[in-house]
Amino acid sequence: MKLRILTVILSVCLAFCSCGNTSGYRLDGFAMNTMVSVTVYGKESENNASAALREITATENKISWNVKSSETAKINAAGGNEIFAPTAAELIGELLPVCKATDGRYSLTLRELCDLWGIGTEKADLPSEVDISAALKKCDCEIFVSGDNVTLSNPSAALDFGSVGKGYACDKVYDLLKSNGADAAVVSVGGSILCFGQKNGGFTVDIATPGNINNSLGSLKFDTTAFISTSGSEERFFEKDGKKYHHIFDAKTGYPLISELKSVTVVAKSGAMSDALSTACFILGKEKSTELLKSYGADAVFVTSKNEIFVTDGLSDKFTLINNDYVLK
Amino acid sequence: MVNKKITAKRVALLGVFAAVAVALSAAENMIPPLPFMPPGAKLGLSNIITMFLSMNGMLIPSVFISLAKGIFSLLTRGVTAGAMSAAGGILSSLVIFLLAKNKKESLISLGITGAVSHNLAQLFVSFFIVGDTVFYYAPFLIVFAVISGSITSLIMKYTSTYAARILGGKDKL
Amino acid sequence: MKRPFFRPSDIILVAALLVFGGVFIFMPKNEGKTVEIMADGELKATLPLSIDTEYAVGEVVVVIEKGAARIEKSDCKDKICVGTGKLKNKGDTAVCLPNKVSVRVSGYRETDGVTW
Repeated sequence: MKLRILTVILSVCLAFCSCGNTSGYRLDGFAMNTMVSVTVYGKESENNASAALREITATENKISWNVKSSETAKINAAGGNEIFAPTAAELIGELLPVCKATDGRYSLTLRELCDLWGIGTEKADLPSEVDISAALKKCDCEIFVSGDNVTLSNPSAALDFGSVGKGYACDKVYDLLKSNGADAAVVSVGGSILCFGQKNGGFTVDIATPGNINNSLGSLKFDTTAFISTSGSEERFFEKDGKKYHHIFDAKTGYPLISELKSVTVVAKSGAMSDALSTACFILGKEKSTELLKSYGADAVFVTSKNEIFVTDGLSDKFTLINNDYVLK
Repeated sequence: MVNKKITAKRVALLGVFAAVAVALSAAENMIPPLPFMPPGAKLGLSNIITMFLSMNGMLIPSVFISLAKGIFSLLTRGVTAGAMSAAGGILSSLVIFLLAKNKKESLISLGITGAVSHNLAQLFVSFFIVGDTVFYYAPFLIVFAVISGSITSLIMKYTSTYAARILGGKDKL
Repeated sequence: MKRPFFRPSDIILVAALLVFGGVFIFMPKNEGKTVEIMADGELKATLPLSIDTEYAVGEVVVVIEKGAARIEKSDCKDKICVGTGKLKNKGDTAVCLPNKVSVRVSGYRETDGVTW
């Protein structure tokens, strides 16, 4: 009799033990012109990982100006006409207030300016004042959203979701994983991260040292779902005559933003927000960002060009410094 | 002493020695790696030839044969293999030659030190190609060199008298 | 004077070499946490050992499965790298010389992702 009870107890214990370690499955891919990696934990990890990758590509096909059939491409080719674009409309609706908060210095219609500078491509060069003015004129545009329809006030302007697309892709994957009932996952779309669900040991996300992706500046620890994105001047730039020109433009001047910051990492309630806010905060600078972050319930890690790190209150107990060349303030 | 004079007969014999060395090296490479052997570890049978020459003061022929083996590896297995073979052979020839100047130096010590230096030279070549991760193999290579060096010395003990006689000169080594 | 086969000092030589080698081989190893994959001297990827995945560097394929990494296949001639087998403990390494690829297990902290 006692032996039977013992066997039952032992089997129950063993059953619990096997639940302890969740194994993960990782799939790497390429989308949105960058490296993508999906790691899913728990049951159906392989299927969920493949589905997640497909979702990211599907999102790219919907919002990338580079994809001919995307909503964005259609809007840009419309010459000022109204286009039915539900995804774009929703995104724009969320982003316009953020753009407003930066006084228009963060803009979604800088495609012409980006093309002129060509940063990130081989033809990157310092354009003339004249060319920059001309490009700015083309970029000066208001975006009208009416229901699911989008119209650009300036027919020569082009909508560009580059600053928010990766974070938005994370949102789409979040929806997918939620509906599939996945236990936990970590998704990285070119540096925009989604930590989904809960897993043993929580999630540890490293912030790369600006300019050196293989080196960790510090790490953020999360117990549960989190959306993280980073914007910085060291990821993409070109140098000419000893000056560095990075890829985050000030829409008012047409030049790369002159900032005291090297990078901003934002943790927000959605991927699109984390991505957009990271760009906006980089543009606004540390002081002016606090209001904006609070209004969205988001937090950030600011890295200055003097190698100082400032962490907003919400992340102070989650951030650990790793690179001792930097000082945590 | 082994007669070191250069004669046509001897040059030809050295050619034969070189051929034997290369043949042994080729044969060794056909043995599939056994589980406990570190990657690339060889029995060192072909080193018998170079060891024999080096320890009898014939450094230059020994180096040439090491180069011949290196070229053979280069042609059959590629640049990395060729460089490793040549480096290992040349360093071990040199080391054995220097140690052997001491007439009292034992065969075992020559064989083992030769094998160790052969492996270490190869390790350094791979370090230049791939980086510091290869040093992980150092302890395995050293232990293996002790074994293969002992085998080489053992074979040397029983065959060197005959080799010396072939090259001409008195029996004594 | 015939060269001796064996001398007392040889015992010291052999013992020293074996001890040196043995110590490093049988050193208590730490379980590894991450796998560093390097090609041409550059760090290409740092992957956690706990996540099953496949990673290819050119024609060299590294597989991580059940907490161990291994080079699954390679286009090199000797396939010594494939024969190295499972890498699990800190320091375990597999190297493919012709392809200039090295795979090493390190004990660094595990990260789920990097934001940049």
